[in-house]
Amino acid sequence: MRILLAACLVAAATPVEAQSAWTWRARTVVETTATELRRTGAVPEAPGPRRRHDQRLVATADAAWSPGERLRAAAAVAGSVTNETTRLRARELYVRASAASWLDLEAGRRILRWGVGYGFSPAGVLDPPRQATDPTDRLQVNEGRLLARADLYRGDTALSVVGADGGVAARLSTVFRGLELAAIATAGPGKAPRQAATVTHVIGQQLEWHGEVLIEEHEGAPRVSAAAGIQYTFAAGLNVVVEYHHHGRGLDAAAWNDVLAGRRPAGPRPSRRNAVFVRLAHAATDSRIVPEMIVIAGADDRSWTLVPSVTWTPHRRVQAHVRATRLTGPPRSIAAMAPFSTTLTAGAAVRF
Amino acid sequence: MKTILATTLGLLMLGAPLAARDLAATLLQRADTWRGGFDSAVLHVKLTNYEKDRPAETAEFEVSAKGDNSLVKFLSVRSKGQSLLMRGDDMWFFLPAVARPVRITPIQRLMGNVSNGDLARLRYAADYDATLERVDTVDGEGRAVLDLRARRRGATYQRIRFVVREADGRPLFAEYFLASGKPVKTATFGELRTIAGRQILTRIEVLDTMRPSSRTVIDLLSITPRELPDKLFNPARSGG
Repeated sequence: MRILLAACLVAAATPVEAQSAWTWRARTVVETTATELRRTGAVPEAPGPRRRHDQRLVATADAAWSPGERLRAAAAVAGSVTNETTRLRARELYVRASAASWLDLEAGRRILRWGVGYGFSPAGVLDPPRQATDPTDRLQVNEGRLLARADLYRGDTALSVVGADGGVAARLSTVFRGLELAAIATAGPGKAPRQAATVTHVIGQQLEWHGEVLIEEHEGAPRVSAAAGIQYTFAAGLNVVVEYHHHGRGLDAAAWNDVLAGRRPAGPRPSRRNAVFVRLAHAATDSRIVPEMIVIAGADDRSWTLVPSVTWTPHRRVQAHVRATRLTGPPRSIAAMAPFSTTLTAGAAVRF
Repeated sequence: MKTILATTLGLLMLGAPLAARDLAATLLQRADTWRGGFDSAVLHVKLTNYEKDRPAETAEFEVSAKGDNSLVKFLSVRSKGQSLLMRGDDMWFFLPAVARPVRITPIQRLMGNVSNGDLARLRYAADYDATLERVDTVDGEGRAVLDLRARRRGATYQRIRFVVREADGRPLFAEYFLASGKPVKTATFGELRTIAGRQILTRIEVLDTMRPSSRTVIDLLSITPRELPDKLFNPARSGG
């Protein structure tokens, strides 16, 4: 009932005609999800029946005010209503000033993305957590962090210096003969320094490759995380992304056995060390029907996560979608120990 | 005497193709000025897709162009917030949901009814080598048929047959080909308006050769010549 009421309120809101200095967009998603729960698992299971049904309404809006090229103020908010909770979040709220032709200054809450991986992004040291099953953050769950930032530009090169979370991060990026390169470093009082690098490159008309690496200290030892992948678009329009990810802080076989034996907590989102991500989708974003398939294979324990989905756009403002998630694998694999095995979601979205 | 004659004939035979190539290059440069041709400018473009002569969908774009670089911002409801950055041969696509510019390949720029490259690449002279195929006379008017071949990876098409008015290079008609030699589209140029002191063609009608019932009209709503900062085209900034 609450969801229906909220949907009516959102639908009744008439969009204001945009002025020239203003740009805005808004989207409302209503969806229902059926989840098949597991009775056993490494992660504490939710009590109750084996199946659960959830309804969710998510309304998101973002607006930017830019009276000229020298100033930009922007905000992005998201409100969600589920069976159990109601939340309103400011995802972004920032001001950017173009202090000189080579300098931008920015302050506020901002989503940064420095990683270049599609499913995994270890070099994204300030990025919101990447979900390989939902790389495009379809429900706009991600939130920015409070930061102050200076960006300096010279030709193909940019230097970003960011103060956030009591530390400093810097990214130096450039494009050289088609190679997009970036070096990233973070430091701060009481924080272990981290170094990262990213690369992207296009070969010919159809192939892109990318890679990133992160070196950090964890539990007193240096850890290396890395992702490398390719993206290939076939002439018929099929776009394929294949990525390999090594998670330096992921659970190795001994640590996972400890989790299974109850000697070590699994944590909220346990992860093993090596995984392969595959995404198949149509490259054209303006197609009416867009099927997509995401497969994440755990190389350590042969666990599988399958996420097939179809999005249908019958009208430029309206979309309908069906999406499933299936986790499967051998009995002691991380997928078999997850608190649920299957979800099926159906929903609709309206854009303003 | 025979030697002089042979040398002259040889020079003429060698010079003719060179002159034809110069003429083709000059006509191509002139043709670009009919499509704007400003060094740095912001364009407002509207696309209307027709299915069986009925308008099916419209979309608007803001194109910021400077030299080899262009940034296309998508303004319509369906794709608002997206943008395409083309910097020389390198391309990035910005999806607001992903919140960062994603590197894309040239073929991805071709997806969609009107290729992103049709909006982002405004200067054929920078992307193609032109040769003069022939000159036709239609209603007493000379029409040069230019054969354009992509000289760089960032060019939207591998080959274009471009028909321009011989007298002043005004574009009339174009046929676009894929690398395989397959024709994909045709374009007819029309509707002359004076913008920022220049005579500019403000309408292009694009026909999809694979779907004859579908056509797209590209209307140039405005051009504002303006010195744009280079940082606008830096992929580190184009995320918004």
